[in-house]
Amino acid sequence: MNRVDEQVDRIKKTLEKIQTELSRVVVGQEELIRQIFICLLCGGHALIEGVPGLGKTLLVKSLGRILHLKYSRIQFTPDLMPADILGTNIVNQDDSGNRFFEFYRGPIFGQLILADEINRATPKTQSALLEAMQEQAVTVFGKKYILEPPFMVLATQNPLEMEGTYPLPEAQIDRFFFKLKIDYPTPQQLLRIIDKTTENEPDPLIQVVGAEAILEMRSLVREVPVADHIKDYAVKMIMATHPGDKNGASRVKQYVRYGSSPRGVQTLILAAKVLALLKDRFNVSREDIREVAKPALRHRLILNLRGEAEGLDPDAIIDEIIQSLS
Amino acid sequence: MNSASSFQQKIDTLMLQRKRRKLFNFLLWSLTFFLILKTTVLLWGKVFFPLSGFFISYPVPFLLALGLAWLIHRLFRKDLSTELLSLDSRMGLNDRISTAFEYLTPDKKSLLKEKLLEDAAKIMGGLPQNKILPWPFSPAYLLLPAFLFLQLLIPRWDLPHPGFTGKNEAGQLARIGKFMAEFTREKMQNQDKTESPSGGEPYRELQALAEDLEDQSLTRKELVQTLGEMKKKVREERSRMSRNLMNDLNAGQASDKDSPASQTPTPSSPQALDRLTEKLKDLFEGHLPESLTKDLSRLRENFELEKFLDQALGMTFVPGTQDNNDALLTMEEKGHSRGSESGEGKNSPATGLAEPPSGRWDQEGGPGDSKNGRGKDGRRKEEGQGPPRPGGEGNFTAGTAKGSGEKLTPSELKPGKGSLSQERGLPSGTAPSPSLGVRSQPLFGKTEEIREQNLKGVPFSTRREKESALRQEKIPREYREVIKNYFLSIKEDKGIKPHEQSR
Repeated sequence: MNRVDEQVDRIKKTLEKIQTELSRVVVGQEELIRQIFICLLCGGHALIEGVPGLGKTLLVKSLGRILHLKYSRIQFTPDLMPADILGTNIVNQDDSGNRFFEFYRGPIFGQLILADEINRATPKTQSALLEAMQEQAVTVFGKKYILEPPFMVLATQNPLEMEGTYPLPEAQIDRFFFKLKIDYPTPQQLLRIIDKTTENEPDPLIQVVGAEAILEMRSLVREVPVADHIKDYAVKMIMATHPGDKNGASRVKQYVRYGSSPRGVQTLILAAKVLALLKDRFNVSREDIREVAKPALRHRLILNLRGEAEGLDPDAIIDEIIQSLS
Repeated sequence: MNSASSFQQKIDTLMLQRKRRKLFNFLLWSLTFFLILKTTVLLWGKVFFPLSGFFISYPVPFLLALGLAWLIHRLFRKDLSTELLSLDSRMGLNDRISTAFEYLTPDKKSLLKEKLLEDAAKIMGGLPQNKILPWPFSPAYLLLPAFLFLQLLIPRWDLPHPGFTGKNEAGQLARIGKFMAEFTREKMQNQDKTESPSGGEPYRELQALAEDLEDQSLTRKELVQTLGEMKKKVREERSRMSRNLMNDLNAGQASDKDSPASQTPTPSSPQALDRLTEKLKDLFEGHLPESLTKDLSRLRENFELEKFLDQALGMTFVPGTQDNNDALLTMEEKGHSRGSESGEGKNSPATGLAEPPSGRWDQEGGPGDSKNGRGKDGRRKEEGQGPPRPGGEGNFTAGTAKGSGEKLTPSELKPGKGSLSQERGLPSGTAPSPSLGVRSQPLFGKTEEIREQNLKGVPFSTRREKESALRQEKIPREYREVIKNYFLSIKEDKGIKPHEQSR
């Protein structure tokens, strides 16, 4: 087995290990774990949305323990300030009595960041993440600090609670690679949840993969071949999310105010590449693009007033777009 | 062999098969288009007029077919990438083959390229050939046998002409009815004003016929038959009038060469009537007797009526339907013969379109078209046999029978019953093929043999054409008297009197 084969094999095995390890504390959610893993290998961030109590925070916290990465948790509250996230300069004094500014790093200086209930902070604070998420760097008092790779933000938010929350600005949302939804567990899963959480304490989780391996896997993912017609397909899909597109689906014209940004097409291709490797393929197919379309595009479709009023699910629009392209 | 060359080999094989398939399709479409065009030419010939000639039949359709096949080939051609893409979709290969084909070029680089090509070669190697390049359905598979069948069928199949189908035929008859109504209305109005000598009987008949046509109570066949009968009557009437006119002119001057009758030809056409009128005016110094004027007027009216009947009959013919028109022509002839049977025996013209005899009118009537069907030879005329046939029914032997004595130009050969012949080899009940009877009577020499030739398999159009040519052939007016007098003088020199010569 040559090195390429080993690397491809390692990707699959890593996912299996993560899923196995997480299954000790999290019941079900295999698909969610897989999508988070895709995000990780693509160098993206994920926004996990679900009603309270479904294990969002537990999942991310457990992931932080499994991955051999610096884990930070930021609990977003309305009084949270940007400096609380990024860090700040404080006045310090050396042995000779000279005073100087010393930068105290905030929780953003980790590798795996849990931004819990991100929509509870004000937009001003939410915006503190913009630079970090896009450029893996922060600028404080004019000085730029590079964040240690691999850097990944996993944010959670509650879709039901509107009181005291601040919807994420579009620029912020667009920086999330995937928007993932946690489904309510099935009765069988609930039974398993009872067993896992009300009986014996689970064994401590073991770390399965480190930063170096993740970075290697990331570089391999970018080598997956993509044919031109697949790229065309992804572009068509992105264009079809815009209401002005002549081939756009009828629901897009009716309910969408603004379609996906170019980050959408990058997301489609990168995520499809990981998916192809996970499926033992060395090329991206249209099926891969279709499979990652919902998590990649659902938060990038900005609905108009009518769409918002009718509570339209963007997934239904994406389904129609996929249908129109086939 | 590395993965790239292995996949390349598979692609090369596929390309070769594609080329063969393209060539096959090109030939298939060429053949299909050739058959379609050939069938079109055949159908055109059946419905409108035949496009004859080797060039029209083969090289033109062949070249057109090649051009159309090439056009199809250009319009529906797919490049290899597209075909590989459809192969991926068809076989559920998740775009493996199309992506591998794209990455076969050296400018596409990837760490996973080798793995991709290896995977694609392995998959292609495992697929059966008919799955990789299946035979898609082509409309040519249906068109080719269909048009091949038509190609074989059409020459044996008489297509009905659209003009013969119910609604069209009714429309055609209605048009003829309208045409007749207009003609009769005009004539009746003129009659009211000028007191027509004919008494208006034929016009009343025509008016009734027009009404029948408008009521759609008359079929095309019946119309043709009725018109044929009317035409026959008109001709008979003209013969009678001409005879009376000539009798009047010849009264008391039968042997006088210089009498008006001897110097004027019997009018066989409106032009001839005009010439006769002019000549008579010269003879009578511009003051024609009233009775003569009336006779001439009736003759002119008679010609007009016959011309109208010809036009009406012509309207019943539908172009391109040779067999049906032949059938109708037969019916028109039937109308003539019915008229003949009722009026003057069986010596009806062979075609119903021949001109009545002209020349110097015999006081006892012209043979073959004489009063009550009698010529000089009373027995033969009673039988309505036309010219003498001493050799028996339908046979003419040179020099064995008396000549008719008429001095006829070739165009004025009298009509007569043609020789009877049986088309051998035809099964019982089979309709004979169209034929053209050509009769010729010598003008020079001693022989009086009348030659007849029955040309078999002559198309209707050719027959009409020949008859028309025969009708139009005329000896120039200024030469007629010279020629006639020359031959009469020869006979007189030999002691044969002109009136004896007429025997």
